[in-house]
Amino acid sequence: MRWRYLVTLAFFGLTFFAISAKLFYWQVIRAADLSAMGRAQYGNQITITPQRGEIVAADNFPLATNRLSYLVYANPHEIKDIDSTASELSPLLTMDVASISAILHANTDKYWVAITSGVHYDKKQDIENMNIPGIGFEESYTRFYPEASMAAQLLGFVGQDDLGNPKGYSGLEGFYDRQLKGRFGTAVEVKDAMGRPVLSKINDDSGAQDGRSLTLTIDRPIQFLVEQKLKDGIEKFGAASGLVAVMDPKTGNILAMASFPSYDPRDYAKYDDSLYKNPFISNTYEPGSTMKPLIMATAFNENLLTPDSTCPICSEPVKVDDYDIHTWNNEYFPNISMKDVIRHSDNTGMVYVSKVLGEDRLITALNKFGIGSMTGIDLQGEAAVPLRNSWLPIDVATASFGQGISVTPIELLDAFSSLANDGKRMKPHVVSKITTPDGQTISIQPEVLDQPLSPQSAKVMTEILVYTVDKGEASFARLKGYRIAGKTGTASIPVSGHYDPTQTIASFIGYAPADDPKFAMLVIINKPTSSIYGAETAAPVFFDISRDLLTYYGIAPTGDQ
Amino acid sequence: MTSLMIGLILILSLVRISVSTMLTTGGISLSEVNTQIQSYQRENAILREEIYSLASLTSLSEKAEKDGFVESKTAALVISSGSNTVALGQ
Repeated sequence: MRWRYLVTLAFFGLTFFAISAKLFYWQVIRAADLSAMGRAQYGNQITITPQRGEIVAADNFPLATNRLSYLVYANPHEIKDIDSTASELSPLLTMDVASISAILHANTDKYWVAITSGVHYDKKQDIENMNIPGIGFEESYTRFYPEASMAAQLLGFVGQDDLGNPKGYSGLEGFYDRQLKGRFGTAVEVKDAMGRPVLSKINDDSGAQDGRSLTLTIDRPIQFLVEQKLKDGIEKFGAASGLVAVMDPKTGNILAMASFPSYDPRDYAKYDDSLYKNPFISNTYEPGSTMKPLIMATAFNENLLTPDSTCPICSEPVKVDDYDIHTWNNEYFPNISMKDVIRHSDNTGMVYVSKVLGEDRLITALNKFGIGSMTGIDLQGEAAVPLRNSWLPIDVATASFGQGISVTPIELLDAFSSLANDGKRMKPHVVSKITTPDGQTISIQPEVLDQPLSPQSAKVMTEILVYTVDKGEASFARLKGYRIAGKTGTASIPVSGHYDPTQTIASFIGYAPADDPKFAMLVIINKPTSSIYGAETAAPVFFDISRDLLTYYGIAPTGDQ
Repeated sequence: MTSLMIGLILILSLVRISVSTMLTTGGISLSEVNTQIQSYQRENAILREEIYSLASLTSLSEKAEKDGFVESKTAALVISSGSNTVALGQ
C-alpha cells in the first residue's frame, strides 16, 4: 500500500511542479511578449512622434518650423508593372526612373519598401490622384525654413541619430536639442472583434510631448540687412569669406549673426561639412589692431596713462628681444599722444603701453575681458584658445596690438562691447525665451560676466574711438552727423611659422550711437583682394550697415561733424 | 430566491450589453472626430506654410525687386518730437 501512496504523491508532486514551472515561464519570463501579443490582438500600438519645437525670431516669425511631409512607400506585391510605375513616379519625386526601379526590383519579396521621404503635400496629392496601385504614404513633419538659408549657421540643422530619430546638430538646433525634440509616446487604439474602434482611456496616456519653442534675440530685419550687406561686401572686395555680428552691448542680446559662404539647412547633406560650423564662434584668428583699445583702456583704468600722455619710444621701430617692431605703414610720430596712438593705430605706441602695464596687469586685463576663454554663448560649437602659460617680452609686446594672440570673433565683440556698457561685459546670448507646449515661458535674463573697466575709463576710450572714426584712416567712410566709436583692424595671417605678407583678415569693430549705444558690431572680411586694409574693406561695410541700423532705430543725426 | 437571482443576472447582462454598445458607437464617433481634427490640423499646417512662405523677407524682397523697387542710398528719417515733425535727409 505504501509504495502506491508514494507513487501517487510523486506523480501529483511532479505534476504540480511542472504546472508551476510552466506558469512561471508564461507569467514571468514571457510576460512582456504575451502582453504585447494580447495588445496586438485587441488594438494597434502607435508610436506618437512629437513635433519639434519652433525657432522664432524676436518678432515671433519662425526661422525654423515644421511642415507636413510624406514618406512614399510601395508594396511590390501589388505593383503590376514595376518599370511603368517607376516612370510615372519619377517626375513627381524628382528621382531617376532607374533609382525607383532598382528599389522596387530589389525588394519584390517584401510587402513594404520606402521609396523616398520629405515629399511635399502638393506632390503627394498629385501622386494620389494618379491612383497607382501599391503606392502609399506615411505622414510626418519635417523642418521648414520660411526664410530659406537665413542665419543657417546660427540655427544649425536637423539630421538623424543612430536610431533614425530627428536630432539637432550645430548652432541652436544642437545646443537646445533636448528642449526642441520633445518626447516620443506610444498609444493603443483599441478595436472590437469587427475591427471597429472602441472608446478607450489608454489613448490619453501616450506620454508624448511636443518640443519646446525658442524665441530668439535675433532681429529678423537686421539679420536680413546684415546678410545682404555682407554678401555685397565680400563680392565687392573679392574676399574669400566674411562675418558680421550685431549685439546689444547692454544686454548681450545677439541681434544678428551672419557669415558667408554658408549652406542651405534644407539640403545640408549636399554641402561640405566645414560649412556647418559657425565661424563667428568656432574660428580663431589674430585680431590685430581691434585689440588696441582694450589694452589702452586698461592702462587708463589703472591710472598709468591718460589720453594726452606721450610715447617716448615712438620715433623709430622698437626693439624687443631680437625683433624690431614697426608701425603698419612705417611712419613714426615722436612723442605721439595715446589718443593718437589709437587714431594712427601705432604699434610702437602700443608696445610702450604694454611696457607701462607690465606682464601681470596685461594678463589680468585679458582675463577680465574674457580673452582666452569661451563666452558661454548658447550655441553649439563655441571654441577658445587659452592664453599661453609663459610669456616672453615679445609676446607681451605683440599681444598689445593683437598679434600672437588668438580669439574668436564673438570673444572680441563681447570684450569690446564692455566699452559701450560702462565697462561691464555681458554674456552674449541668442535665446531670450523658451516656451513649453502648454504655454509656460522661461525667460533668459541678461548676465554680467565681469567688469574689466570703470565707467569713466570706458567713457574716455569711447571718446578716443569717436575721434579715431572722425579723424583716422577710415574717416572717409564715416556717417556724418553721428557719433560712432570704432577701430579698424588688419591682422596678418600666420602661415608655417611666419606671417603671409599678401593676405590679411580685415576688420572693423565699433558701436553707435557712442553716447547711448544701441548696437555693437564686428565686421570681418577674410582675405580681401581689392585692398588688404580693414579701413578700405571692413569699415565701409560697417558704416553701410550702421547707416541702415540707425535709420531702423529712428536715431537722428546729432549735428554735422 | 432563484428567480430573483436570474432576474438580477438578466438585468446586469442587459446593462452590460447596452454599455458595450454605447462604448462601441462612442469609439466610432471618437474616431470620426479624431479624423476631422487631423484633417483640420493638416489644413492649418498647409496654410501656415503658405503664409510663412509669402510673408518671409526673402520672398518680399524678391517680389519688390521684381516690381522695380530699389534700395534708397540716401536715407531719409522722419522724426516726430511733440507737435513738430521734422524730415531729414542725408
